[in-house]
Amino acid sequence: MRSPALFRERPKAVSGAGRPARRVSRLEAAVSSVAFLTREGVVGFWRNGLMSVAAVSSILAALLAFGGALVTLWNLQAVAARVEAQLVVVAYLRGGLSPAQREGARRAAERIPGVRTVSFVPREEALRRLEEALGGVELADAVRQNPLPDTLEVRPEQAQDLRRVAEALRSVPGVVEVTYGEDATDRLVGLTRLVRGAGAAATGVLGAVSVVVSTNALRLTVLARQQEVEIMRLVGATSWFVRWPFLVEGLLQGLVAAVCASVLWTVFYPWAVARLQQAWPFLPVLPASQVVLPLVASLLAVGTAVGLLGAAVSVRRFLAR
Amino acid sequence: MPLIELEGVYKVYPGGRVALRDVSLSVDEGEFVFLVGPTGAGKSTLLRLLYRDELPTRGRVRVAGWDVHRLRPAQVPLLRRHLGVVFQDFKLLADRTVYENVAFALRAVGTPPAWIPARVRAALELVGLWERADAFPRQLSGGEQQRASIARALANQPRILLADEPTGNLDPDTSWDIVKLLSRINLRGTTVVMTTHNKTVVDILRRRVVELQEGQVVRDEVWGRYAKPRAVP
Repeated sequence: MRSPALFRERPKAVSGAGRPARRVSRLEAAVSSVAFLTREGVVGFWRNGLMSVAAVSSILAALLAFGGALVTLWNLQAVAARVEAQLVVVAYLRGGLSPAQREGARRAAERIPGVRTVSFVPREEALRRLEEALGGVELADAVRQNPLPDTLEVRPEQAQDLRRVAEALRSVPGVVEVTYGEDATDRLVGLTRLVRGAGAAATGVLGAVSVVVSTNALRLTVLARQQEVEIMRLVGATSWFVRWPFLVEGLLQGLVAAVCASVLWTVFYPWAVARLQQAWPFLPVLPASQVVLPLVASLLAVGTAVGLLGAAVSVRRFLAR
Repeated sequence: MPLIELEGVYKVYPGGRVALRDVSLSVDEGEFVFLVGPTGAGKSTLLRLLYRDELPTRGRVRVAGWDVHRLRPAQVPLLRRHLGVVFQDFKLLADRTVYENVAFALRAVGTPPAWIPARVRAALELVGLWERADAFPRQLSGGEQQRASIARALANQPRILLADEPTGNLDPDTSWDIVKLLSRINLRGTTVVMTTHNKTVVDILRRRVVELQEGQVVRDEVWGRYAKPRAVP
């Protein structure tokens, strides 16, 4: 009953059986395990053909929507940035300042935090602009002397700083009045902020939706291999060993979906831009050259991340036990 | 030190059903133990405690030197490498050959690939299934499938083989073959714990018999029979 066993103590008992002449290092064993598991994942991807197609297409759908949100967001941001770049605070200077005093006021305005540029507009220039705005009337003839003051045009870094910059300008020596079209500008800035926020929120929501969608898709994959997981756990596979093939499979599914989404968007966006500009030539849309590359990069990043995350989440409940 | 030891083990399932009640049991290395008793007596639960598929509600479970009742999840795989488990429904992967099924178990515990062919062959030869190594499970008879699953359980050379109703799905002749195989494996030094309803097998083999009823050990005999002989009136 206590006979020396073939199947008892591994190191001594099995000399010859199942043991190569050369010793195998731990590193070699680990590398071969990783290679094996990666292959298992790739094989799984192909073997579960229909399942993979289903998973890839639902991730693809989510990624296409996500890409749409991203493109819209970027365009809205560009429009908002363009609108905001035109916003300016005008500071009227007291009449009869010496050039040194004018220069002092300009310097003081530049030192206000959040100010991007300050340009001095002499009253002659202001009059010329007014004439131009009124349609080429020779105002210099009509008025005996130029009624307009010298002004500083101050552009802030960010539109939401307009009000603060305007307040700060009021206390600059030599400035008598400050205006930035208070009501209209405030409303516009509020609007651009809303547009940005909504775009970012939509993008975030669609990103989250892609994670949920791919988690569900990959749950099917895991369910299909429930028995394999059960046996692996039974014979003593570690959690990582069980997890790895699924992560590879999830990554592959996410990547394939991302590549498909990238191809579709690369074709669709330039076409859509061309059509839009044909219909509304003045609509400010970002050119394809500025959009496609970052879009593809985002889709690939989000696709793989979503695939990995989905696989990790869906395999977790099998490992929780 | 006993290879398997249970001390005052209770298992209460959520909902209040008591599967095991103050079970104490000790099995030495090299023993062959039949666990018998009616359905629902707690036999399978007891096995599941041994390979830590379940945790005891109370009491201590020690297997191959591990305190199973307080094993950290990360250590569970290490315990299971000392155990082979065989089931009534074989649990073979249908899309892999017999060879691949056995190799899969070796792979799963990180066996170096160079060792695998010889190990698989040794396991399949032991159960007499080497000739059918390239067959898929559906091409095998029930007995052959059970032998394949025994080969898989043994491939990693465990000290203990746990068998939960291994003959439950098999006809009497085939059942007998499987039990003889398990007996032979036991003679090579592997400790075997097997639950069964098969009265004939237990009565002929006359090994240690532990009987459970309603979660309690009611009998533990060294050369036991399936049932206590009835007193002749």
